[in-house]
This record gives sequence, C-alpha cells and structure tokens, in this order.
Amino acid sequence: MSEAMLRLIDVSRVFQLGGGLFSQPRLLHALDGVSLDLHKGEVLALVGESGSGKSTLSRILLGLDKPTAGDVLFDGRSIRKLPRREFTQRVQPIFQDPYSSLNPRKTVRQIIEMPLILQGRHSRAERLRRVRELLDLLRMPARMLDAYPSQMSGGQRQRVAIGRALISRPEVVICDEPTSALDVSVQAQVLNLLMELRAELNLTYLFISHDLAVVEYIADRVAVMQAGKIVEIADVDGLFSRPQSDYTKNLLASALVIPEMADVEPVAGQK
Amino acid sequence: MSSPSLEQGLSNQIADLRPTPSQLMWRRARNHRGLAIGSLIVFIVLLCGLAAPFIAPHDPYAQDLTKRLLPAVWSENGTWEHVFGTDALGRDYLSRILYGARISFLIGISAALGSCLIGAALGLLAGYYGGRVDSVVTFFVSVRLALPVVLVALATVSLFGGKLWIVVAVLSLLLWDRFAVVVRSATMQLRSQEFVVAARAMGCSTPRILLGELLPNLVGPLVVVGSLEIAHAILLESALSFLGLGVQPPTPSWGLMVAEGKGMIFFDSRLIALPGAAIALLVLGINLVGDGVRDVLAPEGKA
Amino acid sequence: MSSPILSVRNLCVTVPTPTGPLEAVRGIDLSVARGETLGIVGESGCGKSVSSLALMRLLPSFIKVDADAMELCGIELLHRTERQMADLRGDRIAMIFQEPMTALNPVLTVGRQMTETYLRHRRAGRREARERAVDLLVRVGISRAAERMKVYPHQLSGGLRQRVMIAIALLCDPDLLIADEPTTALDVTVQAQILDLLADLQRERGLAMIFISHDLGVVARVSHRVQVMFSGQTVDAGPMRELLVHPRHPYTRALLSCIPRRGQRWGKDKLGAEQEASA
Repeated sequence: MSEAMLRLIDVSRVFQLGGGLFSQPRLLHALDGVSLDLHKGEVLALVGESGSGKSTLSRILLGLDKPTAGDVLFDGRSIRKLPRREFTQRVQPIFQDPYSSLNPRKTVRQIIEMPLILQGRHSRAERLRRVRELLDLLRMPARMLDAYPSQMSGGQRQRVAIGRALISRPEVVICDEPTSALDVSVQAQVLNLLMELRAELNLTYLFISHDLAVVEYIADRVAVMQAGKIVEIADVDGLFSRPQSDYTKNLLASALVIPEMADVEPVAGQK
Repeated sequence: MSSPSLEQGLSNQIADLRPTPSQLMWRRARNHRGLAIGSLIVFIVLLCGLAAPFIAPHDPYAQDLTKRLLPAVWSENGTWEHVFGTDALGRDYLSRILYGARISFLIGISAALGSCLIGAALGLLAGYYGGRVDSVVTFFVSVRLALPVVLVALATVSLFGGKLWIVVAVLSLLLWDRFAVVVRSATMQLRSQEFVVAARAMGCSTPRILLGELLPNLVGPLVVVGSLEIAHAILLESALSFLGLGVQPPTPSWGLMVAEGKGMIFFDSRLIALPGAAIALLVLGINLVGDGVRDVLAPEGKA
Repeated sequence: MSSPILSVRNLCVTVPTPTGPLEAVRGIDLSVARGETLGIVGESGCGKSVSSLALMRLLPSFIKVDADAMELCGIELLHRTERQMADLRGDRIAMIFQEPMTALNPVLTVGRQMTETYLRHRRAGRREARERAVDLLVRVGISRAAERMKVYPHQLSGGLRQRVMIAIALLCDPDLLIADEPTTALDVTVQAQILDLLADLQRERGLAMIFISHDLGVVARVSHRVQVMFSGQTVDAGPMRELLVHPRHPYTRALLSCIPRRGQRWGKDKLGAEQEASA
C-alpha cells in the first residue's frame, strides 16, 4: 500500500447551536469520529447527502475549521504544527460554484497567480509564464488572460478555478462538488480534464460529491458518509457491485443513471 | 428550419468574449442623461476653482474702499471691470466666487475622504468579523446618529477655532456613519461568497482578504456614498461658515459670503443670490453624479 | 390516441435586450395527451423553462410570446386576459417549481395555503376544503397530515415541502401539470421518492404532465415521450425508449455520451467521446 498523504484520525467536530443565558445549547455532531486515509496518487471519493458532514470535513481539511477532537496528519505531520503557508501550497481547493468562487473584480491572470504571490518567491515575469503554461494545460486560449469572470461561461470559470488550484503545484486537491453546478456536457469536459491533469501532474484528489455516477467514473476508492460517520469505505468496484451497508444500498438504488440500452424501463414502477 | 449543429453548441462555450464589466458600465454611462448633466456642472465648477488664479480678473483679497458695493454688469452703472460687482469692502465678487469653489471642493472632498476612511474601515471590520466587533461598531454608529451634526460641529469649531483643517476633521468625524452602514452590509453579503472562502483556504492573510479581495468589490457603493457625502459636507461647511464658525474671513467661502451679504439683503440681493446659487448648483451637480453613478454601477438595484 | 390536452404549435418567445431581440424560444411544438408524460430535456439556456412559463403566461409583459396555436382542452391560452389566466392557473394547469421554499408563502401555514388555493377556484365550504387538503396530503405520503396542516413551510424538510407543493398542485384536479426541475434541489434518495410519487399520481389520475429537467436520468425515470431542446429549438423528439436506444440527432448522442453510465470508468470508456468526435 502506498503512503497516506492525508490521514484523519478519529476526527470529530461538534457545533453548539443556540444556547442563551438560560437554555442549554444543542449539540450538533457534524463529524463523529471519522478516520480516513488519502493515499498518494489516488482519487478518493466522499459521498453523502446534505447534512452528512462532508462539507465540514472539507473545511477541516482546508484548514478553515478545526476539529473538536482528533487530528489530521499531512505527510506524517499534524496540520496543527505544519506552517500554514507550506500546507496551503501543497493542498489546494476547488469549489462547487464557479459563479461565486471567483472574485468578480479580478482578471483570470490575477486570480490564477494569487497562490504564487502568496508564496512571494516569484518574479512578475515568472508568474506570467507559469499562468500562460497553465492556461495551455487547461486548454484555454491565451487571450483569456485579461478576461473577467463575468465574461466567461460556467465551464471556463471552473477551468480558471482549477488553474488557481494547480498553479502552486500542489500534491493534494480537495474538490468540493466541482461539477454539480455545471451542465452535463461541461461536466464531462471538466471531469476528463481533471483526470488528464491528475496523470500529467501526479495529483491526489479527494473528490466530494453526491453524484454516484460521477464518482463511479473517476474514483479509485469511495467513502460513504451519513450523519457525520463513515458508514462504508471500499474500492469502487467493490462498493458498486457488493455494497455492504443498508444506506449505501439505498443510495445506489436511488441513483438515476440512464438505463442500459437493453432494458429501458421508461416509467418508474411500471411493471 | 435549420437545426443547430453540435459545433454551434461547442463554439458557444468558447464563444468570443462578452464585453468586460467596464465596457458595460461605459455603455450605460453614455446613455444616462442625469449623469451627463451632473458631470458637466461639476466639471465646470471644478475647472473654475482650479483655474481661478488664471481666470479671476482681480485678487480676491484686494480691498479697495473707493469701489465699495459696485453693482453687477447687468444692472445700472455696472461695468465689465467687475462683472459681478464688488462687496462691502470693495473686493471683486466674481473673483471671490471663483476662489470660493476651491474652498468648497477642498473641504467637500477631504471631509468625504476622511469620513470614507473611518467608515469603510469600521464597516469592513464589522461586516467581516461579525459578532462582538459588529456589536461595537453598530453601537458607535448609533451614538454617531444620536449626535446632532450641526450642534456638535458648532460646539467643536467654537472650541478649537475655525481653521480649515479643524473644519475638515470635524466634518470627517461626523459624516462616516453612512459609509460604515453601507460597507458593513455589502461586506456581510460578500463574506459568504466562495471566493472569500477560497482566498482563506489558499492562505491569504486577513488584511489581504479585506483589502485585496473585498475592497475592490466595495468601490461601487463607496463612490456612490462618497459623492453624496461630498455634497453633504459642502452644505455643512456653508452652514458653519454662515454661522461664523467655519472658514474664517477673509478666506473666500461661499457660506461666509452669504453671511457677509445678509445685512444687505434688502438693498443688494446679488450679494446673497450669487454665492447661494453657486452652492445650490454645485450640490445639485454632485447629487446628479452620485445618482447616475449608482445607476451605472448597479443597474439591477434601480427600482 | 385521444385528442391532446395541450397542443402548442410554433411557440416563439422573444426577449428584448439592449443589444437587440434575443429569441429564447424559436418555434417549438408541444402536445401532451391525457395520461401521458412529456419530458423536456436540455442544458441551461436552451429555453425549456421559458417555454413552460410562456405556457402559464407567467412571463413579464415586456417579453413577447407568440404561437400559431396554444390550446388547453380546446381553450385558447394565448389571448386570454390576465384575469382569465389567473382562473385557469391552479385549476386547469398547475405548476411545481424547483425550489419549494420560495414557491410557498413563509408566513402562512400549509393548511391555510392549501384551503385558500382550493376556495379560490371552487365553491366550497372551509370544512370541505380542509378535508380535501388533508386527503391530498395523505395521498402524497405525508404522515400525520392533520397535524402538518398547522405547520409553517420552514418547519418542513425539502422533501416534505416538495410533497406539499405537489399536493397543492393537485388540489383542483388539474388537466395539465407542469413540473420544472422539481427534484433538482433535493438529495438523491428523496429525489427518487418524489419521482416515483409523481409517476404514480400521474398514472392514477390520468394527468397530462410536462416534466422539465436538465438531467436525462431523471426524465427517463418518469417520461413516456421526450423532447430534446437546444438553443430554443426542439432538436430531437420521440418515445423515451427509442430516443435512448437510437438517438438520431448528433446533439442527443453527444448529450447521452456525456452522462456517466453504470460501470463507466475513466481510462476504459471516456465520457463525452461522441462530443469530441463530432467537434
């Protein structure tokens, strides 16, 4: 087995809801003892419905939130002790909504070069060269350099967001529902692009999604979350052919994939 | 009916760039009549102020008691030498009005900048951090709103004297509330956007998020509030000067000129009407620009 | 087949913009028979939602709607006054929207909203309206229906809210039900339940239904026939099964090839291969 890039050890996150002077605060266990390994070079999908805790998990992995209990190790070291700058350079996010994840007042170039500016080691010319290289890699024309997000389509915006995540040459990319706001044809392009880039740049993905069909297409392993716990984790073949937990079975039964050509059953429940 | 091809669908995605935000703004600005009229007024008044040393026919401070209260050119006995006539001390009225524009702009713009600095800083902090910081700032805003602007300004200026910088400082400290309120609510909306979360996840420091990510998105509202506050400050300065507690004589200030002319109101109304008209015209122009800028920057907010 | 409940020929919707008129819908035909579900599929901006709003005459008046014919059970829809349309909406045609929270009034209880909709269209007493509302809540699978009548929309989960919306839509036994992305905001397990419910109700009541979605998988689950829309036009149409097995138009083929199938993996079987081939 290859080494674990990210390792979650018994991570919990408890939110206190309400609670005034006289009332006891209600406790919400968003994450409840989650342990998970993300191995170098793999695509690990995290599947769950709304409220399952997958967003809280991604916030913790990005350092935006701290676990109430447990620890997260990156490359063998606790992220509490790791310098923030080193961590953010090596772990980068891609968000769900390309319409709100890009600052509307910045050009493509300003958006993509931001992580390099934060590192503070690159000259202007060097940054521009890297941004151009990356646009090439993203199959975007160079004339997009000075465009604003409002001038671009959803697919182009998401490419820019991917570019911003990749410019610092990270090892791990946390993709939080990166295609669920996109049309299917654009989703296909973005998924293919992500997978091509993974091969070219030797990336490790944590891919958070609610869409089982997408997950089956790209993931090596799948972790299913429900109510703050991981109920099942297996490689993708195993999970889809022999789901163990009832929840996973229910999820699989509910997923609406296009029926196979041979046995199209047009209307639900019609026997 | 020709069916659209797939190529068309794909080319839609790499279609030619849509117009940039600034191009769109120009397009809206060009068709806005109020903005055009307002900018023209403000531009002319500004030009008069800036070019006053070159276009003013006389020294605005030069007194000539032999030429007291000469009438304007359009009334009987008026001469082209003193187009707007002279005041009670024999100073050329046109020159004083031209120089007065400088004072109005100087005070209006610096007071608006000062209050913008205070208000934007407080509003950003309150909107971004929320919680306690927000409560404190909201409290300050309430306190400020509870202060009667003119009375406080009068009291302070009478205490510290009517030097120009004191007037500016007092106005700055009294006009920041609208900046704070607008910036606070805009920041709260922006804070939850994913690009702010993304900046945090990339490791941006808080000052960089506030100044680099949020501030550029607040330029629109700041410009709108700013232009309205410039007009507000100009009016307040005139009021203070009129009451004798703003800019001190012999500096040519429109408010002061109205005050000096008020004794003559029944004999020579031009002494009040001319500076009064100048104030009204400038404030009207600035307000037109402010409204226009708001329409141009946020067309969807126009009800 | 019996005569269609809804028949629309050559529907055009034109939106005036500063840069010239934009043809959002460019001549589509729609026809739905009793007991039939027509699915409309397309990507964002293809005009599918605009078409349904045009049918309901819910578009703002500066948008121009035109058609050679637009009839519901023989009633001409295109030239009706706003008042006459308001009588039809909720009675003969009903609509379910994507976001049930915004379609329900947050300050009225579920029961109040249901009884008022019913009384708006039917001569009936409060009591009868209440009974009818409870009946329907039970039918859409809401347990403790009588209690839930007293509840405000925000106290319900997304799935329950959408069930309430369906119940309201069915209150007056409409001839035509238009569902615009009714499950997009819901979790997958809830989505499957709602789709099954819609299909059951449709069959049981012989409703004519138009089901609009960007997701071919969702449409395939409930529709008999499907129309594929692209940039304001119908590019492909046919019975669901046939369209899936023998997609004629290249756009349909490309669309199908972009949807991940069971067992499809990166590296073995690339998504959107059809799309790239024809590009």
